[in-house]
Amino acid sequence: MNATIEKYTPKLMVLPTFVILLIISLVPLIYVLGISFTDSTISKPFNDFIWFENYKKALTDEVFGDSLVNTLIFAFVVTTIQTFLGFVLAFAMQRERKLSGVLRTLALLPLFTPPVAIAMIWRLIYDPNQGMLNYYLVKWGLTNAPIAFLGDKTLAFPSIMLADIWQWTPFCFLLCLAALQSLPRDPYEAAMVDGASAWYVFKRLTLPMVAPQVIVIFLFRFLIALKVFDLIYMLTFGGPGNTTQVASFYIYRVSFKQFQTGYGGALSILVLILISVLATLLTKGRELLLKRVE
Amino acid sequence: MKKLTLVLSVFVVLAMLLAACQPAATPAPEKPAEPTKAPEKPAEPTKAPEKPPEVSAAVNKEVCSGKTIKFLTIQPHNVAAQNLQTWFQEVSGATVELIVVPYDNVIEKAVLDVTSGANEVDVVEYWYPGLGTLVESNVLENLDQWYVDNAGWLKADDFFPTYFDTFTKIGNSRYGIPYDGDMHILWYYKPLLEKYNLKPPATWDEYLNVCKTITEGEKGAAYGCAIMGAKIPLILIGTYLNRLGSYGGSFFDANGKPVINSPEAVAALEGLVEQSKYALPTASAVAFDEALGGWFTGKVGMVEFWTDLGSMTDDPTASKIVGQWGVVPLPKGPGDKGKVVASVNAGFGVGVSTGSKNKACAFEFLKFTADPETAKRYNTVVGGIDPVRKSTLEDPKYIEFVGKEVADAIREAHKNAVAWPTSALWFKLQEPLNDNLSLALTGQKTPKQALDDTQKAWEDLLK
Amino acid sequence: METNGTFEIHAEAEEIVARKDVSYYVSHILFGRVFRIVLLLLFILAILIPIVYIASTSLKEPIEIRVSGALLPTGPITTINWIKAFRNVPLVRYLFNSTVVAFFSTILVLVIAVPTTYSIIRFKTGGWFFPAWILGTYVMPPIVVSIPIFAMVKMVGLQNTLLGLLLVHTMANMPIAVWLMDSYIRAIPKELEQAAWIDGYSKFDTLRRVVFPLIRPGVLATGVICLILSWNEFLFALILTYGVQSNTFPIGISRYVGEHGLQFGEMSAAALAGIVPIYILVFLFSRNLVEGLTRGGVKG
Repeated sequence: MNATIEKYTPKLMVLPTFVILLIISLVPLIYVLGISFTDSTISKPFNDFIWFENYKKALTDEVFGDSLVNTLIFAFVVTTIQTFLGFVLAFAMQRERKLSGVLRTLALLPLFTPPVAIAMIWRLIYDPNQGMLNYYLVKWGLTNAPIAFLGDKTLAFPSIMLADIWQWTPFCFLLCLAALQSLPRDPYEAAMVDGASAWYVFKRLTLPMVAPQVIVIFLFRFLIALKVFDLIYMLTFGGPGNTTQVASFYIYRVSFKQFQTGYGGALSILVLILISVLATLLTKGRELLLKRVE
Repeated sequence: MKKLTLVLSVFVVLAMLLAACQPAATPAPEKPAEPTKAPEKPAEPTKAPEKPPEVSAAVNKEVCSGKTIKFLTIQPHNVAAQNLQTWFQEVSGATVELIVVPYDNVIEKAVLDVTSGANEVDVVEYWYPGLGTLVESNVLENLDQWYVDNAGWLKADDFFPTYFDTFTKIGNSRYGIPYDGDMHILWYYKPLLEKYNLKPPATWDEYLNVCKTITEGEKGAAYGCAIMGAKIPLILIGTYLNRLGSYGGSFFDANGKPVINSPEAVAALEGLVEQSKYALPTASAVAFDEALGGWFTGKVGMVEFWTDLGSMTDDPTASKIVGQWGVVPLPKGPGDKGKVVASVNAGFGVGVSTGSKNKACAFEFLKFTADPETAKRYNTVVGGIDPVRKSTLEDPKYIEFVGKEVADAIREAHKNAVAWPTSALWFKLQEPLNDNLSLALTGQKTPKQALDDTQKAWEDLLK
Repeated sequence: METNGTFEIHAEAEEIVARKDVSYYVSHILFGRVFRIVLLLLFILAILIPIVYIASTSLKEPIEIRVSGALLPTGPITTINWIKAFRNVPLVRYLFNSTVVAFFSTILVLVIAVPTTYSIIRFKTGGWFFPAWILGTYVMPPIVVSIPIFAMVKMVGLQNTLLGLLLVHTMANMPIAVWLMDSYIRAIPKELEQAAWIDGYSKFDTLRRVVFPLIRPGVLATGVICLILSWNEFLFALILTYGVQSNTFPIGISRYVGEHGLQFGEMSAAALAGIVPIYILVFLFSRNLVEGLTRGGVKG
């Protein structure tokens, strides 16, 4: 008896998680897949089986296309800037022991501020008539009239990105710092003995050694950035025009504002396929890159 | 680990303290729900159709006392709902809980509540363009019999005709009562107009001229007008309808076919785009808050807004321009087809949810809300509720509260009201229009292109 | 130390002049001490300004907020926004709800995630597929599964209850907890456990008596992170909760957005009321948090 329990212990240990994964991913996915072949609305689930009509519609839906492009642009731009800034800051920080404790604690703050509150803060900062940014821009004579950052077709998206960068750069900074601190000391000592310049050391030693870890940080952050929803919901509702329309928000709008849950299901499946393909490509790409470096 | 234990215990103590501060736990009043079921039956109005209509709106305490009902309301009406809550609890002995949601979420919350079977809500306050959606999803109780039974005190002909059918009727049946009438009129800030020797505009051309003159003269210190163009249907489509109607255009023709790219409709949008160039920056990001921020600080010459703006403006803790404003009807459109309109942007009704577990008491709440005497009470406090009854508008206390000028403007506006569609399809249709208006406002599409695209999207959706 | 620093810079400068090495010069400008300090101070400012701004806004007179966006109050300081925020919105109740949901969902997550992660790492349970599934679930946008999850919660009758929401949070945070615990468990030498097995410990006892004491810092860090994630969660709370009795803090304060005649002062006060408890946690556990986040993130 005991032997049987012992034999199945590993399986028993993952059982609750297995059940949870079924509940939060597999069952919902089957539901969404099912509903995507129907002309459902929120009050009539699984209404009229219509095969691939919803998918055909999605492929010609310009707003959906725009929202996918916007999502990718958003994720790529914010992740690149965050990783770059995070790395530069971590590199600068490496030799400032005194500041390090303070800065590490402070860096946690944006990360752990509720996104709802972050959106509120930035909405207030960007406000054309009462906000801080315009107040100082006008006061210092940098602009004559206040700028509506969230209402301008070219500025709205960068403004949302800036809020996201504020929130997530500290995260990349902490990870880059840990990566830098985990590097072995020996090669540096050897380089110092040889009298190599700092730039040379950075280019030839630090960068190649730290690159694999920085790439992981980039990937992890990129995949999370694809989920962006709260900031759009609270700041622009996808506007002006469709300039800040992203996939998550568009699915929300179709399902919960227009009540077309069948169509929303089809869009969800397409987005999931896209994300899985991206995730696979990126991981494969990283492996190839690492091989070349070696 | 010690730290963790410490923090956890702090958490637990905190949780207990917080719980102690909030004794308003609900389970207690829910218990007697079953034993007291008996008295519910005699109260049901449908049981005795031959009984004469009720002459008094007095609340029936028997069906309510000890019960809990939940009222789904919108954030801007929070204060008004809190008043209703207090008053109703006093007369009925029931407990009223408020479920407060953002104004643009109320329809989805109500639909989700019933279609999912959650059935948490007893009484629903709804944005009227969502009425068709609610009825299609079977969220609201049919009130035809209720109107017959309560005709005595209800005085349905006291409701403004502008609101009555639009807010409550789908097909031949009624599903709610009018609660908050909400029309746009044009507010202006006297000192700014006087500074440039301008009169409040009577036509959209004059409006453009006033806005342009002030904006160009003030060089950024103030603006001639604030235009609410943020990409939220209630706001952006409302702003557009103010022009569409007065230019002589409409969403649909008499046969229900979309005519959103008619010459009048295009001209109205061209007018809006032109005006927005001189408006408080930037029209495409201005919603209530931004417009009010400019208005309260005297930075805005004119704003199209609801009729309760006056009482808000005269609150010295919020505004710097107390008593320095005036109102006129919305400007008239150009040409033969041009006319003066007042668009019913926003506007709310109240109905009983089909999922209600306490229908008898929910109907008492409906009765209490519809009572002309209650209306006089909630229309004379700052709470965002504008009169839906003629008797309220003529009530001396109300006139004193809003000022004669506003009361006159409201009376005038009722002659020319234009309303939004309320069909079940409207929630699907309004999104492409909202998108395209926003695109036109930011110059990504020409007005003609934007409305042609909307027309096409609508024709596809209506197929 | 300061004088030392100055001396260092002087010495470096002399050396640069002596060697006339351009690339060396460039790298010193780039990563010279002064530059480094300026960069880091800017970073600190960038983090703090928005937080200071919202705190100062909550203390400004409502009328001052309408006219001036200055970082610090220029007029008299007032507590009216705080009073109004607590009066107009049942903030105390929201904070209570959030506390209950965050606390219990975190306990549940830890109880389930630790054995799971251990089993995956040590016994390779589920092969490559199971870990991939867990990560995949984390990457999936929650909006995609919101409707079916709503339906399931309703099916078991837990809609609009704190229990329903905390179970959903438990499930939603499970993938990230496994992902965070992973590197801690991986770091434990296998020999220790093998010794325990030889001593006759069962697998479960090994986890409890040998492994768990060693991974406590990781459990702590994971716990605090899950606590905060649950406290901040928005979408599920938006869909699953209705009234005052189950609304969490983020839903409570999102009410302020879009209000007719919006009051930025009250919004700021309400937002801060929910941020401050989190910041206290962050300050108490900053070391564990940094450790937990970075170990989870940089592993290959």
